[in-house]
Amino acid sequence: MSPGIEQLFFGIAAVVATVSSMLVVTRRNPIYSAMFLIVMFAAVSVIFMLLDATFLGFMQLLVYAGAIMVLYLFVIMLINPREGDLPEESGATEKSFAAGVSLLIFSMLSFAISHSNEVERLSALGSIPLLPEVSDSHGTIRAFGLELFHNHLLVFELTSILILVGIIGAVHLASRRKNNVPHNLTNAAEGVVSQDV
Amino acid sequence: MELTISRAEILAILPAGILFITGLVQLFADLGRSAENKRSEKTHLAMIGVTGFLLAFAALFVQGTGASTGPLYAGAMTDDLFGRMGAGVVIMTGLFSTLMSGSYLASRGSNSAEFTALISFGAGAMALLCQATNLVSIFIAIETLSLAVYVMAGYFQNQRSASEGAFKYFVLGAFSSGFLLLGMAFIYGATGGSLSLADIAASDGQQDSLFSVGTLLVLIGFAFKVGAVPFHTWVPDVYQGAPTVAVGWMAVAVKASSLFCLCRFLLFTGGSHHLAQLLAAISVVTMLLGNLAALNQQSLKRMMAYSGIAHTGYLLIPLVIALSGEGASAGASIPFYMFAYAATTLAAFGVLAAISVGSDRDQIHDLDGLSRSRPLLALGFSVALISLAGIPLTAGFIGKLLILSNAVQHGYLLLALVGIIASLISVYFYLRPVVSMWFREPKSSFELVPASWGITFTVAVCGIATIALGLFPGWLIDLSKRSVEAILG
Repeated sequence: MSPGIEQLFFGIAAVVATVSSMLVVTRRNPIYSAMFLIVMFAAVSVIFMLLDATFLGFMQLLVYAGAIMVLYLFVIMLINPREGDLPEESGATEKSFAAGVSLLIFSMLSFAISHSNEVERLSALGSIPLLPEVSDSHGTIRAFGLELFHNHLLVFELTSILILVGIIGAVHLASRRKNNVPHNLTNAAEGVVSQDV
Repeated sequence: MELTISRAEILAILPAGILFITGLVQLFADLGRSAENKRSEKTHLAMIGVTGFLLAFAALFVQGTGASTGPLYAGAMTDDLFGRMGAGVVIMTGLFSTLMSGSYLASRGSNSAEFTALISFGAGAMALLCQATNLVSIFIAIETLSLAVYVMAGYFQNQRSASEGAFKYFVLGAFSSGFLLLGMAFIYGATGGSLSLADIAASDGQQDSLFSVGTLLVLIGFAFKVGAVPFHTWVPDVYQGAPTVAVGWMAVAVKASSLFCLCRFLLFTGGSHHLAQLLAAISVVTMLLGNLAALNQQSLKRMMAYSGIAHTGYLLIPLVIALSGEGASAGASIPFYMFAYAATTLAAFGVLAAISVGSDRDQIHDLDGLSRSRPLLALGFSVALISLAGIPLTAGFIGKLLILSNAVQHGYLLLALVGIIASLISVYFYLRPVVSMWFREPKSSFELVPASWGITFTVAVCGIATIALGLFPGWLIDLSKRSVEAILG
């Protein structure tokens, strides 16, 4: 792909990702937020592919935009929030405070990027995706697997513990009000469950 | 390419690996439980846990006090004295928390294997965090231990305060992990794609503005994990809602592993005066706010929460010195202080667990006249509080002395002064429970379930350790100094 077209694709993907992530935060209806999140994931996966990380790009699409977002949507639809259940619109002072903090972080990050020698050095080399040392196999499943099982073996194994802890935690926290209701409350407990959960 | 694992690599992973296996065994040992079963004490789970922790501790001795093995697992971790000491603190804390858990949880009717298993898994991740030497392994270890601690904070699912604390902790924790990850990404970018700390230290990207911002974001992420002001708002709620036996573990082990990791990180990436000044400001505010907010607390757990925040403030002082790149040796006070803090805090939370078995007693006036009904518990708690206040002859005093004298040596007079003032303020609220235990009349309604042997044993051992470290600190100080020298090789 010629650098010009690559720039164009990057520009489109970047704008789409930024705008849709802003929409995720500002929509009040969680379904809309989830939908814009899918758009954002798709745009980010385009950026990954432009960076020659094909495998990561497809995983982003399959796992995040596909599997995880479907799960999100299921949860949202199960909870089924109606207009009255949605949280109160926060006040003007809270909003301006949040906007101020965001602006502060944004200006700090953009200052750092615009004054960085490393970024300057890379942009002098041409567009960032055209790094000279990237080989043909970069970003393929084979390269990814070799990297994962050789250089990051320990982390890979530790991730399985991370997921196990997550499962145990989710099961434990979701098992509320089953076994530990005092005996004299057992009859009334059925009603309590549906109200409180 | 061939996959080979050397002997040193197996040895290095041994303590954490044993803890992970312990967690799995505990889960399997508790399969097929019934509702009644949750009220029993389940000594077999505690015994499996204790065996696992003792084996892991033995593994540390097999590793010995020898020199660093250099990078293992392609730079993901190392096996040096500093990491082993951190793992030692984590393992001892987990050991005593497991020992205390049985009777307390059984009295609440929620004794299940999840509790002990989460302690084991969390402790394994913490031990790895102390030894982690690249950005990816640091992040995954932090996330693993955080998940375990989030669940622990909300362990009593039916309690409103527990759910509130856990929810706040989880949301803020996820947010701070975002900061941590973004910071790591910036560091990765600024150093031309280096993940391991040694590569980062060797790269010339350290002066880059991206690098400074990255370090700042990583600092923010860690500041949240250790509960430094202004990222401390979750601490009191979590301490109040979580099971008392777990709070001691959460307070010490999370703080210890995060600080060991942060110390290693800063020793490799340090050298920024602006960031050091910022961290110094955080340290001052944390010390003062923690101690001032503790003054007016009636709840013992909330008081201990603010005391924990204040101790984070003291512990940030050696990190300020390390970050400014002036004295790597300043980090030597961290291992000693963490051992002292672990012994002291475990003794204190052992007593809190003992008085809240079968009830929700948590107020300072609930301690009135404890010295008559339970002299041993009262003595243990008094020793712990005196040590936390930093009064001589205790481990806490030596720890503070090390930190403050280091600060004076490296010219941080203001930090040392604030530390001393903050300690003086803290004496007031630490002595309030002591007065109420020894000089107040016991209340007529005061009924105390006899403490289980696990709690009594923990309070006794940790109380004695607090005094012993205060009287004979030499060997541990020596070990701490050697451990910090070993980091940089």
